[in-house]
Amino acid sequence: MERYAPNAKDLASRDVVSRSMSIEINEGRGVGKDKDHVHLHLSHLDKSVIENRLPGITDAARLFANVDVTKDPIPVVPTVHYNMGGIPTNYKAEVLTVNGSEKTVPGLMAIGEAACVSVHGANRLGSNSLIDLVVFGRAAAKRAAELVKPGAPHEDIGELETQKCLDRFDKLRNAKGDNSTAELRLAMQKTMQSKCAVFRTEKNLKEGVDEIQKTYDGMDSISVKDRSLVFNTDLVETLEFDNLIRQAVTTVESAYHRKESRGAHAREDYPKRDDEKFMQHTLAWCDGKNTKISYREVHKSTLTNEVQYFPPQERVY
Amino acid sequence: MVQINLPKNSEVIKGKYYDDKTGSKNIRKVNVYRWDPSTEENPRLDTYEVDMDNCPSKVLDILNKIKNEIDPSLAYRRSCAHGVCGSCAMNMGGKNGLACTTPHAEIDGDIDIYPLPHLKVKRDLIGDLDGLYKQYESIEPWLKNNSTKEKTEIVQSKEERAKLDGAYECIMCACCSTSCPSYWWNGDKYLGPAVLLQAYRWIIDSRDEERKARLKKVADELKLYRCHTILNCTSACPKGLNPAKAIAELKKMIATTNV
Repeated sequence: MERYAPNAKDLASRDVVSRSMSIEINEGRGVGKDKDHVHLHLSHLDKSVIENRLPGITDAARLFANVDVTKDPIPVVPTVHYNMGGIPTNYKAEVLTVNGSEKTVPGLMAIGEAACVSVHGANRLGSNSLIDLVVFGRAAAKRAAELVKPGAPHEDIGELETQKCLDRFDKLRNAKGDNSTAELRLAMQKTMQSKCAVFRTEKNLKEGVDEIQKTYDGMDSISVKDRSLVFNTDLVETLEFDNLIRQAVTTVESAYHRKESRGAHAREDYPKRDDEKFMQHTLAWCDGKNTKISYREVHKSTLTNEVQYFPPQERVY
Repeated sequence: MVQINLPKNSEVIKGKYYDDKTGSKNIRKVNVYRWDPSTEENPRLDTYEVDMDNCPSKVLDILNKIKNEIDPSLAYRRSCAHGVCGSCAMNMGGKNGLACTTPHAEIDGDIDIYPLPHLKVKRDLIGDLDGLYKQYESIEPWLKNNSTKEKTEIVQSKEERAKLDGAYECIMCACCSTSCPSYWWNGDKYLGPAVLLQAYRWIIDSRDEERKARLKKVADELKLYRCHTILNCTSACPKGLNPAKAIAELKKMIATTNV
């Protein structure tokens, strides 16, 4: 890691470490039979430090790689860990939409990994989830208490809306096509892993867009074999796939249109951050396999005068 | 002598047989308990021939392979796949454990997979844990501290924190409680090892102020003293914890504290 982050070394941010690992593997310096991973050494650490501070990773290495971390290196490879972006919200967890000006969607809130309050922008940094839980969890609860009057009845849901949900449920429950959910899901995973991974280019993202749309089309002939209404996990996985494939289509389309590198989004063909064109949030409107991309301004002011706006800088470690 | 038989509709019958379709030379037979209450059919034991050449090392990998490649109707719980969430607790080769951390190489012969023993079954490998969760709720598993003001930290020394080691790691998978004969017999009244370990965890927490009240609550002939130190719980725990010791500590505390 010294070559990639001379000061922070192993403590560089996750995207930097992932890229360093990928470069090593891509340039043929990986290890193992297929040279497809790298080694993480912990054995230089004191045994008591490992025991006290890293019990989880010690266990995982023993269980899944048969490695004693006090003696041997752990085989590692970068993988997906967190979804940057999500449902746009303000700092009170109210969902935003764009309609002329920035507006909230009354009654709809989002928190956690589903939401995008955009504290850390295009990156996943340490303690992202802590902020989601502690800060925005609390903010959401406070805002909900302000908005919801005790005892207030729920607004009537139109027949048309409930019917839409039931139609989706019934359509998938009775799906009699040729493609199993597991096959389509594997195709989606493979596309996302190979075409929308750590390093991206115009070419592989375009291939990704085409491939993922093909997988989306596979849903026309999806099959659910389990017809039971008790713990029907085949159906649940199919409903989940229906959500995931839309998420995948949106992600790869958004990445394709962002012709710059920022945070964890690393384009080999556009290695620099381009604030002039892309200092803005991507907004993706999902309509089946078609996605409309537009952009929303980034806030450049703070809520109080105690702290000043902190403009983005080149990250060096 | 009273003859105890299963009701006719509870007898486990021989189920379907799924032949290998991959042509693999490395096949293992996997027998899986199947039951769907919405069909009125008896529970059955389905047998799957599984190609082990293309199967990773854990029992969960076998189940995923069956579900993805052979029979999508098989129902089981699973989530994290690395021994952290506790969802895939089941009985494999006659022993309770987490499917995601149990190597199939450790099971000889055919691999028998059943739901956790002595629970009502919801479907296939999914046991009904509602009773256990109600018992968990009954021990009030949250910090009770009224004297510290909302805005100050509750300080805990390293030694005090170390007392929680061996208790906080519990993932509530229920492998221990469902391996306990006392819990099988008195599961509605005896709290069982999983819940008692959690009761212990809050009783020894230096930040909690309700130690005595908590002790008093579990000091009950049925809730606590149905433990007869059989120690199945400790041998079943997939996280290597020792619920039996925690129960013994509880008994000791009650014997030496004026509750």
